[in-house]
Amino acid sequence: MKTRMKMREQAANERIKNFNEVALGYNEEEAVEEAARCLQCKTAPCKHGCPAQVLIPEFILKIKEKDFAKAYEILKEKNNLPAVCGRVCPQETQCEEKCVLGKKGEPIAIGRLERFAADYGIKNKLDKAEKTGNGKKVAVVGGGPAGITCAADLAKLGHEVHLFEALHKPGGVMIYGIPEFRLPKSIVGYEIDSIEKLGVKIYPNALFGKDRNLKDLKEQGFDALFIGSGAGLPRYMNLEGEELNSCYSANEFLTRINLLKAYEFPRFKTPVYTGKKTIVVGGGNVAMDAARCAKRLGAEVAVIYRRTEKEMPARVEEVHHAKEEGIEFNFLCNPVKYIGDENGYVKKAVIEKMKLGEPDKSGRRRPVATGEFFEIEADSVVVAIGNKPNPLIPQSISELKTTDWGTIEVGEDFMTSVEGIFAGGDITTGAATVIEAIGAGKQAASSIDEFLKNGKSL
Amino acid sequence: MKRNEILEKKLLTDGSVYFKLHAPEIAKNAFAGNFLIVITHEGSERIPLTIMEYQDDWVSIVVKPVGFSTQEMVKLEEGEAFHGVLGPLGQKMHIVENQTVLMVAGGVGIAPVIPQLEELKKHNNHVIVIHGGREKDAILFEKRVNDVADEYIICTDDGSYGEMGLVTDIMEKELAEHDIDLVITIGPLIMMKYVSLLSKKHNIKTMASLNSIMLDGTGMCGSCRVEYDGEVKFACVDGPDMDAHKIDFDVLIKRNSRFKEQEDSVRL
Ligand SMILES: Cc1cc2nc3c(=O)[nH]c(=O)nc-3n(C[C@H](O)[C@H](O)[C@H](O)COP(=O)(O)OP(=O)(O)OC[C@H]3O[C@@H](n4cnc5c(N)ncnc54)[C@H](O)[C@@H]3O)c2cc1C
Ligand code: FES
Repeated sequence: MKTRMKMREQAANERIKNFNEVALGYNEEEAVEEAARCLQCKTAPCKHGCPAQVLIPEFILKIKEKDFAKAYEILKEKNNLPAVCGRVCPQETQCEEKCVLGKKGEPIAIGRLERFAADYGIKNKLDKAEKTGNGKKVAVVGGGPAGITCAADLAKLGHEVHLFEALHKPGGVMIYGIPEFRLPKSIVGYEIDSIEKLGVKIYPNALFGKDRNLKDLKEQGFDALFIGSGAGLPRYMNLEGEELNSCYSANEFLTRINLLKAYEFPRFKTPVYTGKKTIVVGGGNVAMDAARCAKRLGAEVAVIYRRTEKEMPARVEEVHHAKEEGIEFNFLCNPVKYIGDENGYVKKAVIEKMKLGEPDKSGRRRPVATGEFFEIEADSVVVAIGNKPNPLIPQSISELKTTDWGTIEVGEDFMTSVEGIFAGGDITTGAATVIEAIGAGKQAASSIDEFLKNGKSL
Repeated sequence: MKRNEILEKKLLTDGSVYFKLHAPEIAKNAFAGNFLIVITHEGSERIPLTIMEYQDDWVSIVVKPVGFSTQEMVKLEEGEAFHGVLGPLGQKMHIVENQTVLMVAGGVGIAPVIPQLEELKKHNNHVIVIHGGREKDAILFEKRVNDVADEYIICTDDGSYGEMGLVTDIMEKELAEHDIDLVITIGPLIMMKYVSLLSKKHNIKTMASLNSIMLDGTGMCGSCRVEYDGEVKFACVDGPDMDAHKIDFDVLIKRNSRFKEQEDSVRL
């Protein structure tokens, strides 16, 4: 059996000096050769591993037949942002995990093929902007993958869509969180342009709940509202020393670097400081992104994770890349406090060793404290232990039912407890994945269309 | 009219600049105490500025050019537009009725004091304003404040205008003469710290307007966090006006110089 086609990458010692994309993608020959490995199983188990049910064997077949345009069209049917997903989906726990080839050898490289076909579509401008119009008026709050997808689908169905985004650039986590070297911002920019071409009107710097509210939307004749405001509130561990100058939440650190381009300071005007050594606390994609950013800013980086490598929720490829880049991993470790210098900057971290105990609700074995401590010298700390939803919108619409976790409750049709208000993505699930947000945005768009067709409104 | 277009620009005596901006949604929803995040050009920093006035379809701000971002900001002219303005952000001011309120402002801190002063007067309060500045030129909006405040004391460090001394010196005298129910202070952190220490000694509730380093201004990053009664609070959503006696000013003063080295390395 043939092995999986390798993807070209920037060499580790080069890439740690720049923010350019690490993975370089397949060329046509490589893609066709990899696509030829697909068994085209009738049952297509891969499809069931995909939260958006992308027609996987179908698009791969078209790549094999060198009909790349058709492959792109098939991808777009279920997923509005294939160039993004090809790069950031955790394929190894979704589609590729289910691939029959994976039982004996390596599963087919679905993510890489998706990326190939999507980049082909973008390069050759295959997206047609057909404005239909004459529909109803819908407001979308939040310009992340959920909001973008919902807006695009509603516009395609002929509705007038206005998208409100709090930051000065739409894209959500794709623009402020995930770094350039993993997801080039030109791709996100392309997707934003295409929804504008579909007629979606985008308002940046528009914070729903502050500069406009539900009453304003009703007055302005909106018939429905979709909330895709994500899970953007940082969590801290409430440790002594977290108030120190060079202790950041991952959100702050990544926003400075990715949204505000602090890595090009002073050409871009927002600063960031790492010092010589940065500690990153956490084991997810966010932690990997923060660690690799700090490395590129010139710091030595140590990741501190309280379980073992096996339990890390990050994409396997990110962990692999981080290791290649010389990032040090400290598993079964947990910070207990940070000690600062006289100016208020981090000087060192006190770390407790952990061991694995009984499995918790998620099935992962729970880390237990051992009472054994050690210290690491460091100049900065990035806390990447997860995010929760921002309470602003639920606070501004008091009838909205929320869970104990602060997420907004929705039914199967993604409608909230308030008629005409729909929600999807991280704001309903808690921090999850891009593809789940896309799936939710898509299904919500179709429910909203149904709702409007039945003559109902906000 | 463009969104965020500058309708009026005025240079003030201390080198600060007053901007009146076209911002209908913000004007409609703003209230005394709220602030904005202002982005001058694409690629500029996101800078928090308290709203001074809000009316019809415009709002105003006063910017003191201290770092490179504010220097860049004051170069914009009438007819030009800011790249982005987000707001109104933060909590509304703390309102009381039929009380005696002492407002202590330092430097350009008088600009955000004005809407709060006007609001307090609407609620039937007796309001005393102390405004301190380095020298005469630092005393802004004198007539405006004088017209509204019940008592108004100006002081300068060098005695070149009004009384000579620090705001806290004047404050001591006022505390001795009046029964003050509430102190509101807006100005440099170090001044607010001492105002707060003094009012605490006299057991008078005090609100300070916190100007911590912010990014998004919406509760998303924690850059603005403050130590508040042993808890972490975000100045952008829980403030900017917060109970001064619960704030750890020393931590905040350190945190506000986090990027000093980087900022000093760049001069426009
Ligand atoms: C650093 C990082 C790395 C990640 N890596 C991956 C990965 O590799 N693979 C993967 O699948 N997932 C990854 N994720 C998770 C993924 O990005 C999210 O699950 C996904 O973006 C959620 O999409 P969303 O549209 O629900 O919300 P978001 O992308 O969070 O977008 C919400 C948007 O709403 C805006 N907003 C919030 N409140 C308001 C308001 N009141 N008014 C107006 N606008 C508002 C926000 O500014 C934001 O732009 C990562 C997350 C982070 C933080
Ligand atoms: S400025 Fe980001 S949370 Fe307050």
